[in-house]
Amino acid sequence: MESANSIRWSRILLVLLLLFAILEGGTRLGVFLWIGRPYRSFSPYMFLPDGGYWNNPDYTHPYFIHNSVGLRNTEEFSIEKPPNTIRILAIGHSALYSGVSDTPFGWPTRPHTDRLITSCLRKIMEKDPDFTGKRIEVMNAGLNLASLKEMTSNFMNNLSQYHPDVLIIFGSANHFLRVGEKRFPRPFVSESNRIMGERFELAANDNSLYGLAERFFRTTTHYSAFFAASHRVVDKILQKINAKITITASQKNNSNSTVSQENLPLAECGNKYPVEKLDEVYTKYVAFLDAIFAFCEHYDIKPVLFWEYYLLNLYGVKPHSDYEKALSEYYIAQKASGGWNNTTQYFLIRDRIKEHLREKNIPVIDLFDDFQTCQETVFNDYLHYSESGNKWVAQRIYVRIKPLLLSWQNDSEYNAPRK
Amino acid sequence: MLNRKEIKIIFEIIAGIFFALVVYVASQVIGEPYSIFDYGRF
Repeated sequence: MESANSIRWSRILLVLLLLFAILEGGTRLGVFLWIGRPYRSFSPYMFLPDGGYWNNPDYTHPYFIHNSVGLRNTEEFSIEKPPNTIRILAIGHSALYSGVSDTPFGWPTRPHTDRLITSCLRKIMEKDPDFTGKRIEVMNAGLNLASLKEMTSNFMNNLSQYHPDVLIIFGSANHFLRVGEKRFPRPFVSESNRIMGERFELAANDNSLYGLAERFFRTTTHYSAFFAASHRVVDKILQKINAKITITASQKNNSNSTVSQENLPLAECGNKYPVEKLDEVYTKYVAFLDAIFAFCEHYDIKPVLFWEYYLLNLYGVKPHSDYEKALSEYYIAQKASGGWNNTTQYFLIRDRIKEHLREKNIPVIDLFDDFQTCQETVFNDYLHYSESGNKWVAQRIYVRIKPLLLSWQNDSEYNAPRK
Repeated sequence: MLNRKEIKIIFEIIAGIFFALVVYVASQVIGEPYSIFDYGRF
């Protein structure tokens, strides 16, 4: 009778622990069966002491594989460059990382870590008789959602210690998408419109209950596969709801608008377009680029800029595959705004940057002409490349950089190990 | 075996944890165009 009325807390605790052990064990087993590796972390990013962020080396994912330092490579790299090696470092955002974005036709196939632009470039170079006897290393420092600001910081603070011979900067797309949207509220604070900046502020500087919750969830999801999986599932569900609400609101706004913003002159574009402040955007971008170039000069690294195009930039230019055509038409029907489809302004800024780099004698890889004859599917979504797209881009990059590599090889001594 | 009161408490604790998780994630998601898991979904 006693057990029917009293509350036995020890039993409750035991059942909770048992339940948790079963769920945790089941999740870990499920992760192992699904991914083929034990669970380490479902968090794609980690914070850096300077307030920036970087790929989490412990990230457990079947496609998005990071090496032991967070590069999106399956191979490892020694800090000191081995002798007789050509080392190329690519910095960029999701287009380089080969992330994927949701489309009206579902999630595209996630490119495997061995089928990225960088891995394709390495394979092409290894097959080239002109580089016989050379060890080729192509490092992928793609970081999702990053703009040139984060790339510059990560390169100078961390990645430059690898002393690459060549630096390829994949940095055009993300930068113009959000730059200038919001101001820093004050100096020495993470930029609030950058998702990782907000999370960093919460985890590191926020002493309220919300900050405590952030630290609690970060810790529990780090140690527990079950909590981490639950976190992701809940996030996925809520994100879907959020996306639906956002799209519905956007459609409502667009149907109320009588004038297409894309056709407005620069000065008349509303606040929706971050690229309205063309001079400001240009100045900020070029200032970061020049900082990288100055750094490269001191460290004897040869920089190259790769200009990225959004799918909609190439509408009427590239002979699209059926998939790309359907995607483009969907985005056009949605009147997707926010800068990335504002081709006129995007091209204006491209031309100004290309001119600036021409004056500084920095090579720019611009595949605009190549796209005009490319009939295959290069894009996975509005920006990111498919596996075949990665290969196509890598082949074109190689055609552009091979003469440069050979001429640089004659200029400098690649064989000498750098410290 | 557990009695009804104990089962109810266990249920409430689990529900509380998941409620906290949903509130926490919702606070991140609402109004945010990007998820912290963006481009890394499974």
